[in-house]
Amino acid sequence: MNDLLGVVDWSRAQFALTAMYHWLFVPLTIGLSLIVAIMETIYVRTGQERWKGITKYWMTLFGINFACGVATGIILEFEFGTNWSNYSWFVGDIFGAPLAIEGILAFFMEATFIAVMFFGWKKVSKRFHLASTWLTALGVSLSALWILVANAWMQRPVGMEFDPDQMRNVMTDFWAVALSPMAINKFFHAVTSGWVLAAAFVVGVSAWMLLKKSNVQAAKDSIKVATWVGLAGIVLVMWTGDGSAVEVSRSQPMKLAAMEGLYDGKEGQELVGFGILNNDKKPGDDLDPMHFSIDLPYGLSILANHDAESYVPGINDLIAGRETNPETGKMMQTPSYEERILIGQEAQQALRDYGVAKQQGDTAAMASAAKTVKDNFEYFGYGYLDSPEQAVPNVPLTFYAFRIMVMAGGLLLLLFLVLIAANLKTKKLLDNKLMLWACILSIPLVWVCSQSGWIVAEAGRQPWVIQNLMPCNAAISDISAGSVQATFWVFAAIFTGLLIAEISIMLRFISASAKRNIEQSNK
Amino acid sequence: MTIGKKLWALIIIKLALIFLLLRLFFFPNVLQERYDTDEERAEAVRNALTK
Repeated sequence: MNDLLGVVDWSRAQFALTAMYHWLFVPLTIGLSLIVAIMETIYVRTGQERWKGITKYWMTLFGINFACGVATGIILEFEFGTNWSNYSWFVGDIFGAPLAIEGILAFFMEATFIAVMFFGWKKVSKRFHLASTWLTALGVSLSALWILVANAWMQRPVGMEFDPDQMRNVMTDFWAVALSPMAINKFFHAVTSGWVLAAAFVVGVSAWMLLKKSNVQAAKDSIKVATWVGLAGIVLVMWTGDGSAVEVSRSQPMKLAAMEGLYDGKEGQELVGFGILNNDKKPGDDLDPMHFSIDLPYGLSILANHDAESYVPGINDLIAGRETNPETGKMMQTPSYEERILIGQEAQQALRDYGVAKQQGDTAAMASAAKTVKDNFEYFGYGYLDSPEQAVPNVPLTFYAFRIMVMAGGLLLLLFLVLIAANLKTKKLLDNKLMLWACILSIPLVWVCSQSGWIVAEAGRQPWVIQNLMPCNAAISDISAGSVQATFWVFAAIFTGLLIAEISIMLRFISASAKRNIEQSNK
Repeated sequence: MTIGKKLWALIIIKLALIFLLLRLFFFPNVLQERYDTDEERAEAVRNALTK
């Protein structure tokens, strides 16, 4: 058992490490491809050669990031087969189909048009080149779509039926999987967050050029384009974040409760604007969950259900089975977690019986067991929990990551608004050193914001690898913790090397650009 | 070394590490390696999930 726990913990750590490193590169690829496409559009529409130079400058930085980031996501797929083999089998073709589509799009669409984008400047017409740049941006986003569809299915499994004979879920409705509200929200939230990240990157690098008094006009023009992309991105991120909150409240109410450090909910629930958690607080005890908090009245009810008077359950309520009725916004009783554990165990016993009946060729017993599995499948995963409290995620991690994401997002919104004002009114603002340093510091800030968002999404849904159906400890392979530990450190070394390579190549390129005119497109 | 050459070198080294080192030596597909047929794999997962 200790070894199993070791395997689970190390496999989770390895997956988190890989995913977080992967997500350092991906949002910059998504957002920078859009910014480069807009810059090239300006070049084609105005015919000004200087915009060609500016486009090629940012395209080179896009290329450095793409080269470092490409294929880092494939390692996640390796991990499925090695560390998470039960999970990989259990999800069947549901995970496989979106990943296969992603592979086709990534390798054919992106690879084709990215080649034209980088190497076709003198080989194809201006308009064909521009189309290739836009198609690269589209391909990057579309390939993100399919991995996010797969992720959304894990958070809200739909469009499938479990087959006890194959021991895997079979997709029954592709469109229910691809167009689930969770998937749509997640896609737009993630892609537009990439716009924000790339915009902050362009703004920060351009601010550095302004500080160095190099390429001043090109830097100001780059800031202008990036600011509008960043502002559009952050507004869309907030809008889709609002949609995500509604989805989470319906599909993963425990995650929402953890995000808020909420143990006992009510109708007209306030939102914690700022707070310090009491880390000694446990479900069911009498301790106050917060040492200190500034609350926004009715805020959480509005966020979760778009209804100020609606009920929002806390962790204790959820364990007792109290959830929100999505139709009325009132409290409704569902099976308590104790009951769900029993239901899950009954489904697992029936699945075991199915296997025995199958070996004996007893078709009647197989049918009976299959029906029991089907009737109780909704809470199948609870059968692996020893106690209801195991269904509670790491509250402090989820709570603080959520606040860091929101606060960093708020600062970025403010930055883009100030920059818009600087563009429209007081152009001298971009001569202010303090302002330029704020722009440069927005680069680490936006990455912290982006990573925090994923921590909320993934740590907040623990212990589930598939919501309500499979916890991490059931998804794991029968392998040794030592082998996972070894590959964890191999990954840590490889990814850190890649990151150092990316940062050092980028810094050298940016530093060298200060000594030349980046508006000259033949360089 | 131009930036383009550096990036190609980086991509090739990375892909070699991922597919030749990690995939072959560190990341076997556990169910594919241990069992020959899908039926055996399904039973292995049944045993793991219902023990």
